[in-house]
Amino acid sequence: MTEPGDNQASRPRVASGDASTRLRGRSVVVAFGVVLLAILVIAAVVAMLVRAPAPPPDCQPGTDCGGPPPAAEVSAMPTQVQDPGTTANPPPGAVGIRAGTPWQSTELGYEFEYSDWWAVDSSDGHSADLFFQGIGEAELIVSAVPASDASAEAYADHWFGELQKWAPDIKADTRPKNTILGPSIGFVDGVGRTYAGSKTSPQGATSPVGISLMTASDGRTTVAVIVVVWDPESAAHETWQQYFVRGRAELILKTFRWGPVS
Amino acid sequence: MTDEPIDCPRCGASVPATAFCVRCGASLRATEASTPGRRRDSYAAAPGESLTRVALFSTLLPQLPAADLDAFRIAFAGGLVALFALVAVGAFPVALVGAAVLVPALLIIYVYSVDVYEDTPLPVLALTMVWGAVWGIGFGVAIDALSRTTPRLGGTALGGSQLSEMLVLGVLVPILGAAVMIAGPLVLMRDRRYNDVVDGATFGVASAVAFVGAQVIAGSIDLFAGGPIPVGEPLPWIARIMAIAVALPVVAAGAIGSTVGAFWLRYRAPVRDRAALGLAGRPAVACVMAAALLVAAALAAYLPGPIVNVVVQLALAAVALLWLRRVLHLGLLEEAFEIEIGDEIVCANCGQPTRRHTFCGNCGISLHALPKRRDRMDR
Repeated sequence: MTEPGDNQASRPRVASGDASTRLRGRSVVVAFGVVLLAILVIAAVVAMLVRAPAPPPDCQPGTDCGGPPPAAEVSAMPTQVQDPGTTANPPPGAVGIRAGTPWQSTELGYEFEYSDWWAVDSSDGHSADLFFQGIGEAELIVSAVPASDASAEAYADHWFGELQKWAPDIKADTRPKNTILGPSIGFVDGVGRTYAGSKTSPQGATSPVGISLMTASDGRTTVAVIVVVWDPESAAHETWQQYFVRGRAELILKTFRWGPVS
Repeated sequence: MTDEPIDCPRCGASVPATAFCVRCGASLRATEASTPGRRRDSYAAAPGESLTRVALFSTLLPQLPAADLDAFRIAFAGGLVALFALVAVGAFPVALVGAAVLVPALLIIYVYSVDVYEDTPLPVLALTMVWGAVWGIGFGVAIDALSRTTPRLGGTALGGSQLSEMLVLGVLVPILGAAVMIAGPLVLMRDRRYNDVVDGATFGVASAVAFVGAQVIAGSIDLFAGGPIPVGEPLPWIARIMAIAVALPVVAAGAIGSTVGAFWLRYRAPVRDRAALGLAGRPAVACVMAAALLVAAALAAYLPGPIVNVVVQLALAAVALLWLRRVLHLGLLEEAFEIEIGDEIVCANCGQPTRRHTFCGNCGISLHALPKRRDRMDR
């Protein structure tokens, strides 16, 4: 770097002033249009080529479907307590099967178990936020309010509003492959919705998200289970990420136990 | 034009009796808008515009003659309309890529058109646009990873804090990005062919817009997995496209262009002109101001609602543009007393004859703010 005061560096030079631009008028517009169009076409072609292929159906004709849950997800009691403040401790002498790590709401009394695919990131007396531990990014929120505050439908609407603040472009995902069939929480039928959209960073980097939202109410408590999956269309375990992650959340829905009658 | 020279009331030099002093750009005739001898309030790169006017094209593309600005305006407006049409049909990934390249593509056409890179396009391109793009890709990939490891929806919805994410993506990343965007063009300061402040500012602008565009595309690559028309509401995308196509690149271009211009003013300008920008002309202060602008633009993304976000970011873009405009203006007003008044030429801006020096005697534009072709023959 030249130091201040260097006469060579600071010598002014004569400007030309009479030179015209290489491109003028219409040629600027045409050149810009051609460049932009070429980039847009390339982007469209890439989007078509890298589009995740439609996943194969779970059940193929002539094959057995369903079956027991994976052995890794089932373990005999007693289960090690991870968070003494929020764990649902079984009564002394109780006998049963526990499929995962328990979590209990200290304020509303409901409880559920989650598998090793998830880890609790944060929680309070009525809600828990779990992060996916497998490959890819996903988040699961279990949140509840007294039924007097919101019905299942109203609570679903409330959560849609919250989700819209976070990802403003989310929209109902009506594709059959993402439809929630028979939505229920703890064997109580409820509301099931799926949304798709994207989340933008302050720098403008944008990632797609897929959201599954279920709410149900037993008349005393209204519960929402929300699964947010990043890159929901990406391939994962011979299926697509959103489907795979939702499958890993099933245990929470099946082991969900509503709070005691007061 | 008369052949009788007069003494400029501002710089005192003997100059042709034209509307403006060809040495210092001061008005030599009393008009409604000017008083003889006063340094003009008009922008040296576009004498028809005020220095305090928020004008995108005459600021980001200062070396274009007035007659050529309209073509760039039409091209840019047409590009924006095309992007909004893509959003309307739901082709979000394609619109996002188009938004990310809109300003960089315009700048590439500009630097080619006015020959900013003169006879050494490769090293200059490498240290401005390629430098910015390569680092932008690296930052985009890092941001994509970082934004997944910081607290997300649960942290917000459950009443938790977004503080850690805001510190990383809203403060740390913009500061590091500013340092990278400035570093590449500074290498070019050793090359004496690029002595003008307008050169330094243009290099900074090129590095910044390439960085921002590449960062957006690299950080959004997963968006393509949903195909060309993924599920999503178009309306919020309009604000998003405005931010990516206009607000973010203009904030970066203004902040980084001004800062690199301040380095040029400090180390390449004649000694007497180095204090012209005051405190903002000190490179260290300019670096802090640029980082502050980029941090403010990033933190604006955490304000509630996409419309509010983009409005605040556009306001910051206006501030950045005014700063860049002032740097360019003062750079162009650099006085050049050592140079003799040259032969008569036809000004590329107004088409009228003027003597070759620093300013057009007829329209008052800085001749350094005009295309460079054939410039090299004069050295």
